[in-house]
Amino acid sequence: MTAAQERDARAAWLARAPGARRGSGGLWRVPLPAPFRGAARALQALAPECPGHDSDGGAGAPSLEQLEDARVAARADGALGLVASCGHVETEALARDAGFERVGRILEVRGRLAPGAPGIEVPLDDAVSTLVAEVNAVHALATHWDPALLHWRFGDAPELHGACGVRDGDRLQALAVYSVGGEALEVQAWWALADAEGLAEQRLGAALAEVAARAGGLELRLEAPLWSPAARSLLAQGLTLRPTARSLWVASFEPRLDLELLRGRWLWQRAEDLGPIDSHPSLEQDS
Amino acid sequence: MPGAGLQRTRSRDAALEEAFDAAFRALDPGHARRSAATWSWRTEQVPSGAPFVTLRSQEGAVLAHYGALAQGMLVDGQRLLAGQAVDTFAAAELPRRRRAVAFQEACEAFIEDHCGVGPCGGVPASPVSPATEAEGERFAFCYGFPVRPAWRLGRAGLGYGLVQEFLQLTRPVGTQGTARWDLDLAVNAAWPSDLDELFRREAPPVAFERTVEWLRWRFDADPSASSTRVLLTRGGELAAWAVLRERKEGAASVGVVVDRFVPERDDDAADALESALDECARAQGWAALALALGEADPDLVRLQQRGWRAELGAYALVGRSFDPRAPQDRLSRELRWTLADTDLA
Repeated sequence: MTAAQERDARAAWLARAPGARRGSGGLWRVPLPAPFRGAARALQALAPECPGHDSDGGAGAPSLEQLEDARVAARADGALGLVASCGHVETEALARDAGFERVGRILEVRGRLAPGAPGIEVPLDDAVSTLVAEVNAVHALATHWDPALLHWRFGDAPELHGACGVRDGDRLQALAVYSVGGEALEVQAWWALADAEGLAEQRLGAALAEVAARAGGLELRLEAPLWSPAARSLLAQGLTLRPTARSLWVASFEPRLDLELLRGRWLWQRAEDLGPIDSHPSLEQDS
Repeated sequence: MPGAGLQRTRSRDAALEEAFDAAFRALDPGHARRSAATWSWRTEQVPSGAPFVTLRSQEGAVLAHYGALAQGMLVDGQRLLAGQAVDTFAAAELPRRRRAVAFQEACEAFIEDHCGVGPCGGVPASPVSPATEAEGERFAFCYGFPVRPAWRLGRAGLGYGLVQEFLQLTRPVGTQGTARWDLDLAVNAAWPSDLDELFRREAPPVAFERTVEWLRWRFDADPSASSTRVLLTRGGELAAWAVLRERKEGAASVGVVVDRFVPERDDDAADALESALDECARAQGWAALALALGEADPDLVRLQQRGWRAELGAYALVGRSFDPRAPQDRLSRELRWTLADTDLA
């Protein structure tokens, strides 16, 4: 696929996101419904259609004006806040000037786990949305992945995805959506019901390890808040914590959605980062 | 400028110490009155200075106080001055709203007098305290590891933002080999004279400075805690070093690596330091070792490969750059620090 075809395909995919809007510079805003204190409002993810590349072949970046336009437009949309990831220090300075606040460096938990009992393939349907709602209920802020959003983000996505779940009787207990890139099985989203012993987390980790082993002995890679049960579970099982090149930035339009809450109680997922705004997503696949 | 009827002062007196103790006792009923020796260590004895601004009523009552420990910071070989905010407070007896306003005014006064580029402004130095570097030079970067309420005030009053995470690493004692290759271990020997040169030569691009003078103040002169110096030499020259302190955790003790320095590419020295830490910890009867660092530190991965386990700590490095030579987002990505650069060691 040529670069132009790749850009067109990505633009078409972003345009199919429920409620997506295109801003200046090819910066899309994709709503991520996050019922906050009972109100059905959305965070918006800032997604690059196809950032330019500078003459040295390095990553391009939006201008300050484009970032400010996006922030103003998101606020006018009634969004809770506008989320972006940045991969370069120069873009971070622009984001700061455009009214974004740094939530933190995105950290990954990475390594190999002993494979366990295989999981089950799970269709991304209403049952998943029910699980997500149940998992999210204990967090102050987390995207509600309804079937339309699930279908667009995963079923309709250019990358190949798999969904691995574990059941407790008839009940879906935990589920991860993953993609395979480079030498890692990358967890795009992870939902597990809370239990005192963290058994759902452990079972899901073991099932993913089994998928990774079958795919050629891949490592598992999870990007998630370090306080999240998923990250804590994998760290406790011996995986390694590493920084990524990306940082998470948010322009908040809701006073209660302050930095403390965003850092400590926002259960964000890798799938909500629709690509750093200063490099082409395809360049990030093997990062 | 202070509000009408208020004054800024820069001298430590009994009223300031009393107000400090009252403010921290209000936050923590277990707060113990700070000794004169500790006050002196944290103010007059700081090698690069410890400037502060105290906001007082015309009658001299302390309303709010903002201060920092000055410290060198290297950015691409250039030495700048950083300030670790410590001991900041607003008077406990003030009504809540008045407390917030007074603290904000103290913050603004401190920034005006001590932060930015160029020579310092503000009121003259106290005639009783010696002139220090911080009285002539402004802070390029101010930072802290605050508790949450203090961070809220810092964000509002000083524009502090998140710089780095505070990651805690721990490992059990006894997991490292005993080999030390061609390095010799000396415990609690005097700081060697080639330490400054080793740091200058091998320092990461963005890091808090280490000198013998600073280490003597930070650890040897600290009246509130004792430390163990772990020095590794190769052919008589310093190769790596660390400082350990004991922390009680119930009946057990943990050895906290409050400071350490190993040149970036010297894997033998890094391995030897791990063995030496084990040896010291075993000798003290400590069950485990602990340290803290930020995500920008390449040792985060290396130490995990050597058996340390990482987890998120309760704090965060927050701060604000006042100097374009030390851009805040570059500090976020590169600044190297240890527990010695915090008030938590």
